[in-house]
Amino acid sequence: MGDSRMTGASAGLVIDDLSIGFAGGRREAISSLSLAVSAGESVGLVGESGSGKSLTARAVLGILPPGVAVKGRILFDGASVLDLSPQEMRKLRGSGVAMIFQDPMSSLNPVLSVGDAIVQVILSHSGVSRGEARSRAVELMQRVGIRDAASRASSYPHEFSGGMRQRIMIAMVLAARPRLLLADEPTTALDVIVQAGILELLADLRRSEGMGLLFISHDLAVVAAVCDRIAVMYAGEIVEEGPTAAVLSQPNMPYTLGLLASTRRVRGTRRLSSIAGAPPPPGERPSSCRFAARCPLVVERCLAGPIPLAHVAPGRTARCVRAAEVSRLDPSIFASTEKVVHV
Amino acid sequence: MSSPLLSVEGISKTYQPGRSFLERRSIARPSLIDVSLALDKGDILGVVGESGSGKTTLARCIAMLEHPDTGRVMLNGEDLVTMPGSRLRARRRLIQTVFQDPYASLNPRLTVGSALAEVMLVHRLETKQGVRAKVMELLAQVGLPASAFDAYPNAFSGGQRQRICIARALAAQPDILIADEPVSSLDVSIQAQVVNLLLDLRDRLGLAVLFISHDLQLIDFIAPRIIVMLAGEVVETIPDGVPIQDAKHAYTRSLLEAIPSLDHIFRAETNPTRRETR
Repeated sequence: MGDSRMTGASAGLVIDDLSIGFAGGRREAISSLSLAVSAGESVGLVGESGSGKSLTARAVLGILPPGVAVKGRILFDGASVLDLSPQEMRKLRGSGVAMIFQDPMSSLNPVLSVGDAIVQVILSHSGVSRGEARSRAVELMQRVGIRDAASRASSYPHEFSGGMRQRIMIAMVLAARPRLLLADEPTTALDVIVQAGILELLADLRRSEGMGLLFISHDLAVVAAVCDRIAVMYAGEIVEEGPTAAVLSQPNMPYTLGLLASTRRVRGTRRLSSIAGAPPPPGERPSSCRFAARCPLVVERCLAGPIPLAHVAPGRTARCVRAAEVSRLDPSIFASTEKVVHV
Repeated sequence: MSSPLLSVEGISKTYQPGRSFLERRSIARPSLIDVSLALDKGDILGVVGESGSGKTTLARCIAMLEHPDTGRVMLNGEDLVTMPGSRLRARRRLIQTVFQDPYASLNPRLTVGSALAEVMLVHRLETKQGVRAKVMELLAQVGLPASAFDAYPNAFSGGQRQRICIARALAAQPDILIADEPVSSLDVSIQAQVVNLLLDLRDRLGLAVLFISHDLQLIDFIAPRIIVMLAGEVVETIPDGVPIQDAKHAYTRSLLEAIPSLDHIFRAETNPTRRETR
């Protein structure tokens, strides 16, 4: 992470030492977060609700709630996003950075047919003719899995189901051909077949247009299918980062292991594994390891002071004093979380 | 042979196109076509299918929140569909639902204690004097602290709210719990907690559970028997003892194939130092 300044001028996103605080900075929601997404690269951001994933994405898009205190730097294609004027920011949004929201169902204009809505986006971001824009809109609708796209293009948002509206929203965002897409749980509400189609579309856009992707999800299997690298967030911090397959097969942080345990659904076992307890909210986070209270491996060292995000292997970082041991453990250590032993 | 606790026999439901501008629809498509199922005490029946497949309509028809056009919903041998309203009201208590969104299904102005007490008082299951103790018992049963009694829903996280919703359903002392995507809006780590709670309650109270989800792996874990729905119809029934991977219907197979999986990562992993720990 320390070399992020050197990549400052390169194509893509660089988040450098970002902290975001509410209540005049007293309740810190995100602490010293550094993360990079190069052009064409796909990075997964995982973690529980409230860990700061969505807030991170909103900071990149410049749509933080008013009154928050922001420290650090966000660079997109070398330009500092936090220093852009409102006009420059507007220009950046859409074709530069675009975002698919978790709940896009209320974000469609009810008096505009969905085809026209997508056509408008295409026309405002490229110089094609109306007819060309129209056929591209229909093609995009097909690609997000809408049957009879040509005839459905003249339908209005209320004539679609919730899942279909979400797909139309995705088509609309992609119509702008963003160079970086921030996707916040884009497929969580969709069934697996539609999800597979949308994930494939995102992969295509990365390959063909070099679109960067910051993919926020709590579904590790989806992240594994989509992302080259994965960053795990817990209580406002990145606690582990590295190549997706390496991190998920041998996590260096017990929290990642706990997430993996929660997703294992082995028929015949009596209960699902879970991570007992809940993450500490902003303002109640300890200065030592933030996961310690829920960690089955906690030792005294964990509670002594801040734990740095350390390099643990080539391209991999983790925030855990027992990182090396953790990589040898199996998710089953979370199987009986009732019997957590505190040292 | 004694009749099962719940027996749904060939129910169909078509929503008629509304007259208002916003509900205008050109064709009325049936939401439920000739669906039958049986559920006994302590059973868990899984229902899977994509959005719009009729899962929720099925749940609403069983809970008699919706009146099926044809067919019977037999509870303890009595048909709820033809039952007059006064008697139906008393039976309704026996079938309770937990909905997907725990943020939308709790009254923000009612304390958790009063929301739960209200259910018991409305159904005359408790007296005003005894209700507090009973609510406390219920809170403990779903793993919420006693302090939850005087708190408002906004003080709770999604997982805790879903526990409150489950407690509220249990307050009516139902025989059948319909869980309609009960964990879909929760984090994976919290999903596991809520699913385990449902399994515990089934064991302790002998509840019959209709578990609706679009998550095939979760359904396969929690439900011995599974029905697969597509466009309002049950296209496949997977009996007890058959893993969902052995499903036969083309649609079920396509669902299975579309699930992203972590297996390839674990299979590729060859690290000999990894070992099972306890």
